[in-house]
Amino acid sequence: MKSIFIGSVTEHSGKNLVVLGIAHRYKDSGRKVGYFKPFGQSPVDNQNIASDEDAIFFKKVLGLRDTLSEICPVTLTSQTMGELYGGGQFDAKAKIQKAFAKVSADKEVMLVSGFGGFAGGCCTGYSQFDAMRDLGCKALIVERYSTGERDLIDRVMGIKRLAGEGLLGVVLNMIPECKLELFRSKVVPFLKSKGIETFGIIPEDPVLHSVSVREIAAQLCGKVLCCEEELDHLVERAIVGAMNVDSALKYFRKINNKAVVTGGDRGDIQLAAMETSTRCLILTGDLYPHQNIMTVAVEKKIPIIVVPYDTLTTIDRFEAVLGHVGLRDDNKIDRALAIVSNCIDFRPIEAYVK
Amino acid sequence: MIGHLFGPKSVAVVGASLEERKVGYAVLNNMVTCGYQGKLYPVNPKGGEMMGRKVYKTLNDIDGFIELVVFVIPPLHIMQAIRDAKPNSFDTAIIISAGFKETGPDGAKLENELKALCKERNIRVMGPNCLGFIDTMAKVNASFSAGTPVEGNIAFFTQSGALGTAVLDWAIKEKIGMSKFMSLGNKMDMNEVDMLEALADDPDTHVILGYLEGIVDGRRFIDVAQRVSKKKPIIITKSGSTAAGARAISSHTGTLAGSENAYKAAFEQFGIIRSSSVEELFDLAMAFSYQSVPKGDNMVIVTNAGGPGIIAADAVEKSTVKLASLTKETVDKLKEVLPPVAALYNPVDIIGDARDDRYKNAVEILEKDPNVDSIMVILTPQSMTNATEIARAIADTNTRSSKPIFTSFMGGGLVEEGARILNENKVPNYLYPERAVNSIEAMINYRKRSEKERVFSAPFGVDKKKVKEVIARNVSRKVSQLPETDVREILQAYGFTVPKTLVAESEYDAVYTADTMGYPVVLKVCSPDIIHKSDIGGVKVNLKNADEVRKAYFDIMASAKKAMPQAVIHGVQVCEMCTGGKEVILGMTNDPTFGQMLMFGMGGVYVEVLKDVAFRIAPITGDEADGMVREIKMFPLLQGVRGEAGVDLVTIREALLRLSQLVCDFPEIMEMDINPLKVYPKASGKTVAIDARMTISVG
Repeated sequence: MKSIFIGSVTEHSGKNLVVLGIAHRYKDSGRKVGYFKPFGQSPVDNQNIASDEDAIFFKKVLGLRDTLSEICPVTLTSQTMGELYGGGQFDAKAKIQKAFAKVSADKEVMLVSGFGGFAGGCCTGYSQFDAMRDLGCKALIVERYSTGERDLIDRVMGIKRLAGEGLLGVVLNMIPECKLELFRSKVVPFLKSKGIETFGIIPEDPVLHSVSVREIAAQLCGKVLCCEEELDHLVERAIVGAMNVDSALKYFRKINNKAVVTGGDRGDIQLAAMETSTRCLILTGDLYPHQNIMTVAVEKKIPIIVVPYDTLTTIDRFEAVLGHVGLRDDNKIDRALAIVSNCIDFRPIEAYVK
Repeated sequence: MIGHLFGPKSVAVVGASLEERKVGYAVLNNMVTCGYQGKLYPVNPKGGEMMGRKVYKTLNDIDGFIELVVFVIPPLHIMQAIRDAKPNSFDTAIIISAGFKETGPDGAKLENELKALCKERNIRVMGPNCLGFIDTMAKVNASFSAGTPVEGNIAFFTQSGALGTAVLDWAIKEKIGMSKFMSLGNKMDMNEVDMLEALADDPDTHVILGYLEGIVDGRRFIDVAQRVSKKKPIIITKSGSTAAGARAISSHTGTLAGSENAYKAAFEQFGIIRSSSVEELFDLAMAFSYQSVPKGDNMVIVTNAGGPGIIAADAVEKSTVKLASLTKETVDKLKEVLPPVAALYNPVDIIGDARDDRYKNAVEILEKDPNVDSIMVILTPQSMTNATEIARAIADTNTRSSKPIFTSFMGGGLVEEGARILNENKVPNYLYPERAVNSIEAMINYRKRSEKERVFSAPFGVDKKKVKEVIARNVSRKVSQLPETDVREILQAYGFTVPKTLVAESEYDAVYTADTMGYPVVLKVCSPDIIHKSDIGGVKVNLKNADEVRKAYFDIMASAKKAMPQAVIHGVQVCEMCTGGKEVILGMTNDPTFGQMLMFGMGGVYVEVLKDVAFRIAPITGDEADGMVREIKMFPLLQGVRGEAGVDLVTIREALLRLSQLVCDFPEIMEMDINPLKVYPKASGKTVAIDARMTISVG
């Protein structure tokens, strides 16, 4: 059995995207692949047990029979932190090793997922970097472009310095299209000259950062008034419609696959939004639209969601959701698999797993 | 066309009733009381007799073809009645009943089903959810209006049934004759364009009036309207011209009110007369219905009161109407019939004690003046003023006059009878002279527009293939806002000159590029994420040497990083600095109603603050391009003031025509502006598109 630790320095770098791609590849080829996450975050309530959101997701999509507490043995809840503050002993190492032994027993490949930086879990006295080493994993690092290529190179080289020979390679994610050539021609050869293999360059993809209308409605405690069958469409951006109609139209045309946040009494803005690429209307302040607007929405298959919040709160909540919802929608999973399959060179990974 | 809506020889009223509170009663009663002479079939499952006519239980019980069927039964019953009817037993229907699209998605579904059914059966439909239809000449009142107007030459179609009842009430009270009245309701099938087409060929109609909140097919509307307006005037009240009105329309009809700029441009360009209020609609209707269009711009005012005469003169001065300069012969003749204190020049003041003979003499003399194209008669009621007799005298003169006469009998009870006489004798009378001037101006403008032909120049030789490639590339990447380099490529393909521009990735590159290009240069941040470069300090102009370029490079980078830390920055664009000339803006937006609309204005602050811009619907003619340039208030600046040379207007016209061709060739372009376009002095023959943006539809 071979284990690959998929980690990153920065949050939301795209680890799950890569894990999903590799896992599917092995699963499709009939190999027994497992998922393990030593330390869990984003705890969600799963049948009264605080479980890691990613653990729940991968257990489902990979059809794993392991229990959630085996897949993710240490979930850092506020209760755990309270115990740590109180001087409680927390034998993370034992828990992790025991669980890993159990879940990896019948697997050919184990994908071990990290969170945050390598120091993740240090508060327990045992880090995920320790886990990677103790579990015999090689590291596949996923880093995303944020402020520039230099910053990304620094992060990758920093990890190389830490992991040394334990670093299998890197995947560079969310690279702006206009920078792809620079990465291919300059950055990848540069990293190679420093002993770092790049397994893939994944371009920035608006779909992967999108969120479904259904999720928006749930997160905003909204009431869906029509077009329930259109809730799986993905929204890439939310914009506020509070201007005059002529300006609104100009503005709305520039942004595709958007949610438009406006008042229930702004029928003019709602109609203008529906003239352009709009995935849903979010009407604030619990104000319901006129029947005529509903008619147009139904004709154009655009869901209308009424939310109790004011516009500012709605946008704040929306932004908190956007880009951090992971890969939970089927549309996004398909897209993710296609992207990973196109952009990652699996040969060095295969060579290691063999 | 519209089936047998006009002048039907047989009418069935499905849902006819004897219960007075029911719409079915009102429709049948209107048909009977207005004296319909054709075959009238009340239809009601109870059978029997109504208002002396046999009642048919179903449409199938009626023998032969029915030219018009009026439905006043619930929506689902209408569907059933049409399904049950023998094929080809009728081809025209008015559906008065409500309960369709206006009630919400379920109603809309029902309306769509009804539409499909009627299409399958080749039935043209007016409505649903409407007041009905009146054809005074055919003595058809298939509506639930409270009466029938007298016969006349005005046709009126309305998107608001309620406004329709008010107009009918006014027409009945004022005895304004109407030829047709049509309530369009939800416009499921027949709409304003069908009405225009039908009324164009209707010999009974001389003036077409309409009230609209939105237009179903803007392009077809303007195509038809420009043809029809050459035959007869089209006067439309289009509501929703303000933000509040537009909001109200959105809930009333579920349609976008549309851009006010687009409506204004389209109406003016294609000869549709816009009335800004219902009052103005009536004023214009009366003017066009009663009088012939003045053959020229010159008007004479005849008044018995100095003040109102001056008010009228002010109104004329503010309009496109001109005060006629009377000939010496006219003045001499007036001198003979008027008192010595009378004012003999225009306005002609015939003094407060004028009675009918003095009015008559003056008007008859003025009517013969070759410099006069129209006459406005003003009256204020003094104790010696015999307003009723004066009205009779003017009405009499009007019957023989070769020039249109308009009156303004100002006052209340003392002029009431006179006003009635004038109206009865088809002399348009207005309470205030300004309203009369406004109507005369509308008639004069109508004449001018009708005489004008739209002549298109031959298209420019352009590289359409290149633009197609650039757009396809961005569509495939789902990029709506085109990168600057792509916009430049498109502009060049359509014959625009753009400044020489090169990208520099470092300060060293920037200096090297500027050295090679020659100073002065402009530096702009090069980033697909930064659209408004100037706003974030991303543009430095007039850089004269390497040191200035180097400093500008670092300043731009620092500003851009600070303002938009997440933006991808490729470096800077080093651009040739275009000095001199004046800045104008050319723009385009794809209006949801009328399609591509062009904009022209002075660049910079003038467009943003003063909104000094002109609009036209594309494609435009050379004359229309010139018209756009001349329309802006700043036009004198382009012509040159205080000894400054004017700009080359020919190049602006060409730029507008090239833009028109581009946006019509590529309907995917949704928004575009060239801001600024530098224009240079007369005979320079050049313009330079300094900066441009474009948004396309990516599907």
